[in-house]
Amino acid sequence: MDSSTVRLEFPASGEHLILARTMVAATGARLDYPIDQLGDLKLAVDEACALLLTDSDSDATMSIEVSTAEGSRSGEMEIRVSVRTRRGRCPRRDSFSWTVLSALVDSVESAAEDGLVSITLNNSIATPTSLGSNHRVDA
Amino acid sequence: MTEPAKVTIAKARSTRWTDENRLRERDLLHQMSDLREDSPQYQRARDELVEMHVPLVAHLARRFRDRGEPEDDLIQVGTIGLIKSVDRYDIDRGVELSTYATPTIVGEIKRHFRDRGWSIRVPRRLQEMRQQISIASAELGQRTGRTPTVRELAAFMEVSEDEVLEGLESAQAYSTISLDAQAGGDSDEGEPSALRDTLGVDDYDLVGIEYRETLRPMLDVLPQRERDIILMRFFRNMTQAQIAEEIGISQMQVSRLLARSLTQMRAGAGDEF
Repeated sequence: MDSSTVRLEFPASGEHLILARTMVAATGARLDYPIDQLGDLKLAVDEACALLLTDSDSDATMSIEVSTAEGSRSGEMEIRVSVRTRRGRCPRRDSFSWTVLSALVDSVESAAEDGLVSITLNNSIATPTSLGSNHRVDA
Repeated sequence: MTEPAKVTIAKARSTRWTDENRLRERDLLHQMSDLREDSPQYQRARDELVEMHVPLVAHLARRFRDRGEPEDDLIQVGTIGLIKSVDRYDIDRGVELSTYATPTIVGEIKRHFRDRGWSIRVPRRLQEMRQQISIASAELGQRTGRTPTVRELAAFMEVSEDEVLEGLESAQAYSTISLDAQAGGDSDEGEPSALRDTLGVDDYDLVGIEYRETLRPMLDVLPQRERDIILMRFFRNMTQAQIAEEIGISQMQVSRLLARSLTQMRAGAGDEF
């Protein structure tokens, strides 16, 4: 199965996170993610970026790579966010942030090498949960 | 400090401003300038003055009501401005308390919008798109028994997938309507959250987290229901759709509230997050 990767680089600051989020949302939509899982994916990207931003240099460049398996029907996706940080250490796994990430995607990993810290998220479309009949509409 | 004012809003709303009120106000203001701040009479005078002027706050808050924040929240923050004004008011200056308090109250309300960090105005086109997506996803959801995809929504709504994506993004980024608004807006008035009662969220298993020291203060910045949603999503691993069903709001609202809550918690926690 062929895979394709899209890569985006942007200055490491909060105002650019929308770029990362939009990229992942568009990819997820292409892979036919249900919109609630698409929302989770966007939250996860936000969270991963925000987590790395807390320790990144102000002039650092953040990069996000989204790899997808073409032809996959289960929406397999790997998202890797990386940036050069001051401490060059992996984020703590007992933080709330990490708990959030773990709940939002199938798996989360982090790595640190020569000051470059990355968080890798792997995800696929979860089996649809059947819903009851009381769907609500925004007022 | 805002506690005494909070519970009396509903009652104070019906107060008519009469000469009798005016005399009473004078009397209370004199009491406040004569009494020691830590005396119970001083506190009572202060509370009564605040209560008397909550209708002014409500009046001012009404001017901001179509900007995406629940009116009761605006009254709440405006009341903080009112309390500050009551505390700082100098009776010898000869200015009416209401005149003196108005800019401070409006200031607090505006600050509330600024602090949220969200744009006050949402372009009408996006507002409508958001509304349509919400209606369409409820309808599709009912038909298929699952949450729709962007492709399905676009086909159903006869718009492009880009437009649906844009609408979803705007829903997450712009709207600041809290869950309490959906519940009729009076869930703050001493009523325990129904959700909390049924779920017993405090019993969640928070393994691996230093709950007391780290998580608790971060969760404390959130309104009760939003706290519940965070716990349901991240500690009970319920899906957005399940949470939506459980609480009786739309999935888009859950998505939006999660995004907002996480941003708020992050802002409050700094490096500790």
